[in-house]
Amino acid sequence: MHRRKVIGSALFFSLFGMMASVPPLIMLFRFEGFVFGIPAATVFLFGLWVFLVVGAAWFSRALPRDEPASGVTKAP
Amino acid sequence: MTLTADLVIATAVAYVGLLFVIAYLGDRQTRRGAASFLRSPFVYTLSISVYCTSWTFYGAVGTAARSGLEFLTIYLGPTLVFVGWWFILRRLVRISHDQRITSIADLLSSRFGKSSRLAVLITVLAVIAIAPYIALQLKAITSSIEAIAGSSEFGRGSLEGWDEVGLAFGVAAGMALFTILFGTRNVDAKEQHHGVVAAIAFEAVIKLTALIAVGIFVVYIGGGMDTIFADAARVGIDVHASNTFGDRWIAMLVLSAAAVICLPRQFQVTVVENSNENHLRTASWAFPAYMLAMSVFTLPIALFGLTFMPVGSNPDMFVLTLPLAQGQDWLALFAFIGGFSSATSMIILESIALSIMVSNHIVVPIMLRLTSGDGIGEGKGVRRLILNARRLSIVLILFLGFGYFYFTRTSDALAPIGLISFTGVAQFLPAILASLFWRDASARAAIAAVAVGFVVWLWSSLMPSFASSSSLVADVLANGPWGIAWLRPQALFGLDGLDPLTHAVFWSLFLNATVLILGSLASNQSALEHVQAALFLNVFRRTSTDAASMTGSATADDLFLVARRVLGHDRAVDLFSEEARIAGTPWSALEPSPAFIRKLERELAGSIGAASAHVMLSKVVSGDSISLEEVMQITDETQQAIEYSQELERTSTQLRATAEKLEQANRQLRRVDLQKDEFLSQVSHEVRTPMTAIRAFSEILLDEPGLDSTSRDRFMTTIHRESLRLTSLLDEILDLSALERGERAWENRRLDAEDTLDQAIRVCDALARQSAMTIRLGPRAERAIVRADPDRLSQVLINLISNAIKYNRAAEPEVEVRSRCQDGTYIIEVEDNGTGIDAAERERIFEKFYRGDHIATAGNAGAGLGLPISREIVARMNGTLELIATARAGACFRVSLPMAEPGARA
Repeated sequence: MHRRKVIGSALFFSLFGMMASVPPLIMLFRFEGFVFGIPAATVFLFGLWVFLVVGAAWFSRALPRDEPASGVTKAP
Repeated sequence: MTLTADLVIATAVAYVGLLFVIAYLGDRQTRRGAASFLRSPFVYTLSISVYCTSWTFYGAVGTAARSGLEFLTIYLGPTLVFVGWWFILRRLVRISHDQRITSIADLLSSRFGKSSRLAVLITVLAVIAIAPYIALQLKAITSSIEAIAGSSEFGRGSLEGWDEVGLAFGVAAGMALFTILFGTRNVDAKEQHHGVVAAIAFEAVIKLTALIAVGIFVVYIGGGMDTIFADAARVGIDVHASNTFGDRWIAMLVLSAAAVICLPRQFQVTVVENSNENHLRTASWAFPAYMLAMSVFTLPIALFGLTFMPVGSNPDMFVLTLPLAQGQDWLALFAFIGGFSSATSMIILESIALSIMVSNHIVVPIMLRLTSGDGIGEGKGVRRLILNARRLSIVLILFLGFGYFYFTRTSDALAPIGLISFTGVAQFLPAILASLFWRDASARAAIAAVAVGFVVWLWSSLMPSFASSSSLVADVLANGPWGIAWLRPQALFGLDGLDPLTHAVFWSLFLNATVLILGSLASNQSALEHVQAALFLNVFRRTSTDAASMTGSATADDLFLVARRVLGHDRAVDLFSEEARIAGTPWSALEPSPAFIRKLERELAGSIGAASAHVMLSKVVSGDSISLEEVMQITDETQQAIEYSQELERTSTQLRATAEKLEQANRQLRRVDLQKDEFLSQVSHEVRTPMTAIRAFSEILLDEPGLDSTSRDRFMTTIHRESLRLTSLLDEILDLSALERGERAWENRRLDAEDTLDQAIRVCDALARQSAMTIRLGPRAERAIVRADPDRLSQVLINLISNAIKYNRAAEPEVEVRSRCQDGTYIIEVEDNGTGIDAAERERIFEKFYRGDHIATAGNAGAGLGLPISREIVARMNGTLELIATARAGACFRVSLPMAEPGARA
């Protein structure tokens, strides 16, 4: 994928994570149901969290690599 | 085995010893260059996990027990920040590498023109804001020891007689000693502590394992996750987050996201200790995954505790008390070590980070101010002073924490204390974001903004936490100071009904950001700020020119003295040897280049902060150097001069253009003037010839009365003919001038030009017969409707045809007339087979009074106005009259008229 598009998707992904974890989107999962005996809201939040971790892992490979800063010196 | 306080304290001390060994080994390995795994991205990630303190270990369960899913916000915020690492953290890390940033105060000070005032403010505020957080750790350790001591009959052991305060004091003192031994053994060139990081990473593994062990145990004895939730629901606990997602949820999310950037220790591990930018890639998912693992069992532990522990037991300690209650002493001990781990790692790193800030931004500047230039310490003075300052600040920080613990010891929950600290450090966020993304943010505005945010925090967040121990605070809380209701700390400006945390977060951050934005818009940046802002903003667009450098004539010796005092002898010698090698000169002849001074400043900044390094070097480098302000001023003046000269150039170009136009107009005037003279002389000449004839003949008639009648008649005829010619000439002149000035009444109307052409041919036919020549008709258009004046058009055509007849000298003279319609234009061509017109004459044939050479010799010459008049007439009908070149020798004139009905040929 194009460099700018990858960065754009990373931005969108972060913003999506933000939107999904605050009201009003999060209100969608406030109903009193259980998934495998665990409340729906809990499942949703942990599911979102796992999704963010997986997405971040993908982006950590996909995002372009810059040449290292000239100022970086390894400590002796 | 029976767990006693003595046993856990002994274990804790042993554990600390183990940490010390790990740190020692880590440092030694790093010095040997052998510890590559210490620089792996996973160790980096584990060190960032210092974010999970005993607040996470104990407090999260407490929060889950009290308010359900709310505890998740503390981890979701940082998750979002790390998922979006590309946009904020990456910039911070790159800037900090470039500028050798040592702390968050250093970062802001560096961005805002190396402002010492801002650095001092941030440092003081950070120390105050962190006190509650340290208190939280002290409280957690104390409570956990108390929980174990209280669990068995002889549990207190040698703690007999110690109350909670004494225990907390002991813990604080022990921690201070431990941190001093741990973190202040040396001042690094760059503030990186590999040994400490190794120990912190080890602790991260311990606390995660301990919490998961307890979690698995609880899920096991609870009969699985679903059973735990079902049991909890049965005893009436709200397992669905019915009231969770409100304003408080958002406020906590914002706070935790801000905290993971702004907390001094998080900045230290994430940014300062980062040895490779790419480690951030791994951390971007591994750190959220770590927090996820830490949180998986929080809710089951809390719910199980709430369901099965006796009413009134402290939910913050469920992680410890659940195994104890089940008789699992080993697991409880492990849990204690886990909690102890999470507290010690936080205390160590936080106090190291804060002590660096205190020594770099408060102690060193004061020392610089007290000593003038030369006498900067003695020998290893600066380094020893820095180390002592750090040790002292560690003690100060821990006892501030203890002080806060002492005054708020009656409150029970852990998490609210942590949130107070979060709100405090979040006040740095607007300034940090501005430093990364807004060029015009100014130092004065940043100082004011942070100060305002902090005052609001002190008033509405920190002060209310003392309400339980002070009746005065409780009164202010209820009624406002001096009864001013709109100043009530938790209902500022009458905004009540909000959750107190949301209230404090909203007002402090809102006013903070507002002051920052309005202040920046209203104030100006200093030159250095301007330069630093550009460096921060363009950190990924590297340019070779670095304007913020000092130039001057400091000797290498002066610089070496400064460098040795701050960096130590060996490092300074290394630096200068390298420079001497690059310059190719011996040490003694080394002339420090601006680039070298800049490099030195960066190295110094790595030890004592940007502002102090700048001040320190300026003391040595000053002399006849040009200050940056002066450079900027010179640049400004040069800029103005350039603009002025550009302005001048523009004006002169305009003037040149005007002069050229004038010149052109003048030339035209002269030409017209010449034409007028020529015209006059030609007119006079044309008029003179017939006049002369008339005069001569009339004189003869007058002088000789005896003239025979034949001669008289001939003379009279000549006079009459010449008069006619004169009249016709004058008519033509009048006609032409009227046409040229557009005075003639003129009416173009629709007509068939072919009819007019036929008419003209008929008129000229007689003339042709006279000259014994033929008018040959070429191809003709059938019908051509144009807009024209019929008489005038006829005049033009007759003129053209008669010219062709009159001036034809061919042996078999012939005129061909043809017409056609082409692309909406009606074209008539009149061609003769005469000698034609020379190329030289073609240009002039349409000028007034011009007659071709061969024409002039002919006896029947006209006045030379026919063609100019014809051309003028055709122009009035929007057409053209031109002389065109043909294959044959003769002349060919073409009249083109636009058709009124293009394509209408029928």
